[in-house]
Amino acid sequence: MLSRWFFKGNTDKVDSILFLLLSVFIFFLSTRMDSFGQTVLSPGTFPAVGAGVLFFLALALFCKAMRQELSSGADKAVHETKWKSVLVVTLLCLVYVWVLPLFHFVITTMVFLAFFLFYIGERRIWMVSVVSISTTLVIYFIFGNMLKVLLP
Amino acid sequence: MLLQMLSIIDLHFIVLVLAGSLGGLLVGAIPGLSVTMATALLVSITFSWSVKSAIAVIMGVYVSGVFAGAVSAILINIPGAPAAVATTLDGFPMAQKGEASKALWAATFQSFIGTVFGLFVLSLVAKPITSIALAFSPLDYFLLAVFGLTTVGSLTSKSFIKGLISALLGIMFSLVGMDPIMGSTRFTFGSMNLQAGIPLIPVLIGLFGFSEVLTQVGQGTLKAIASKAGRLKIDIMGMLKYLPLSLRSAAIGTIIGALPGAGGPVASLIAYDQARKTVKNPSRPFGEGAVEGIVASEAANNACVGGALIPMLTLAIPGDAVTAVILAAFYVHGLRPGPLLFLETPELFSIILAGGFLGAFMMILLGITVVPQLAKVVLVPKRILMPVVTVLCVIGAYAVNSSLFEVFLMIIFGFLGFVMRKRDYSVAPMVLGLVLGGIMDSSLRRAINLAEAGDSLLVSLFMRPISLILLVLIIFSIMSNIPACRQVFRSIFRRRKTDAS
Repeated sequence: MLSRWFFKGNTDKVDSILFLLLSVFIFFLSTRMDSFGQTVLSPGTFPAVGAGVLFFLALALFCKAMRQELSSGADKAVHETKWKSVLVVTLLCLVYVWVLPLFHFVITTMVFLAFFLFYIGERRIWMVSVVSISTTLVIYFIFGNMLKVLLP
Repeated sequence: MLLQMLSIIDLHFIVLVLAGSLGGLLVGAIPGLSVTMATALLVSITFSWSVKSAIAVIMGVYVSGVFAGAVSAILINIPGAPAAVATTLDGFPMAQKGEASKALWAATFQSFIGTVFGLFVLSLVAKPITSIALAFSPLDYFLLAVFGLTTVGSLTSKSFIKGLISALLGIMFSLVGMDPIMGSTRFTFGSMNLQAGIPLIPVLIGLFGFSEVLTQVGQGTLKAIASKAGRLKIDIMGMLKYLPLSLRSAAIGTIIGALPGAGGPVASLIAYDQARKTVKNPSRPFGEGAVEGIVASEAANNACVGGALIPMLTLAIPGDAVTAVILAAFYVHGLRPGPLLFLETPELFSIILAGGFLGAFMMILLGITVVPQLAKVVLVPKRILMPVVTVLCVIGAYAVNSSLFEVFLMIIFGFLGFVMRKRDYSVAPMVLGLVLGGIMDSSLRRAINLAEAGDSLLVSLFMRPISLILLVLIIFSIMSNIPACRQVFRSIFRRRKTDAS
């Protein structure tokens, strides 16, 4: 449902409007930067120019999208994406990173891998255990011991 | 010179270069670990060693590490280093078609060609190239960055406008943080973490690595990347037929590598672009598994090794981050790179060349023995591979600065990369923009500052040969991306050919 709403119609039109708004926002922020009495050398000049270019590119994208819509007359194909899975995996990763400093890297990573493997469709318990434990230990050895990276 | 180099090579030297090459392969192939990091570690490890032993290991790591970025780029679509971004464009599609071994062999051999070419140029023409590199003004750096951006057309198979938007967003992201000229903060929204800017490696891992994980999860088809890795066929004659392209790309890589700050990503993308425009009948369309794409990218980025060493040895100005660390290693060992290098310590030059050439041969050896085993990664089901890749992405992003904030950035950019791919925006131009944005901003402002103090900007633009050449290249590059202009060029060329015959 979410993907149908998000991708309904010509997605390029939606994108171009978002970029137009973004360019205005960046331009506004650029003009508010301290110019130190300079014009061309001001920190805000280059971002302002970039915002201007983005504005025109967004307009060009909008015109292209309108031309496509008028010529083809049909909506773009809706992308069949398992959005729920994508959001769950992203959330899982965010939770993993948030929990990392609270518990040791080894325990957190093993649990994360086990959850991820199970969610993604690996149902063999022995495979989940082997992959979680061996991956964590190998990464710990290579990064923590060999390369002296201070793991969380 | 050759006799000097041969006199340096003994069994101990060979073993050290081999050990360095193995280490470089491991480090370079894992996204998030960089050759710079490995070289920095080696500076401390080799502190008490002799100069010869230290340089042997460092050159082994340097040469193999630059090549190894292509391994993960080909196998799992995650470039091991920014310089391998262009390799993903054709390397991963080849792996998906069951030709992972062929792609890896192409990367190995072309990296060898590039390394040897760059080191050969270093041995012959270090001084003239240094004088050209020194002649580059801030305006020339700006024009070079703009020229790099015009290659966006080669990175986007679908829409040129979307490619430009992606590149422009990358430029905007590169402006986050401290302004290099005035020292004020831009777009940090009060965050202390963003004051240092948005780091390249976590963004690269996110845009290519984590976004690939999300794409696979979103598609729901979690079988193996390919049903076969392909057999390794050591086809030297097959690779030599690409020699003209290899040499052109290696020349680009050497010249751009000699420019301080430009580096592998710019060289490999410009070389890829020129390959796309000049190769008439590629094995497949570029972006769908053309070997020529790997040839251009890998020859260029490995030629940067020799190129980056040129200003470092002759002027003590590092060509890239790795040579900056190597410079530090020299000072630690009491050496003085610079104009007096050839007078005071001439043997140092021979040691570096010997280490580099030997490292190139070790790269071939590892490419035949170790790397094909890595190709079997494509046979692992994605439902097992993707969680492991995710953990590697997290640790890779963390390892850069031991910062969890950068891991969060990696996840955010990963999600952004996923959405971009769904909406047909290429992510490679964004990386290009991120690399070039900072160079463009500071170079342009420095150029204007200089022009205000002296001649006008227009005089600087039209009175300097380097600026003129770059301007012409930019105009040609832009016009070649416009279909109407391409048609005009083709018709003029065809008419001339008919008149001549």
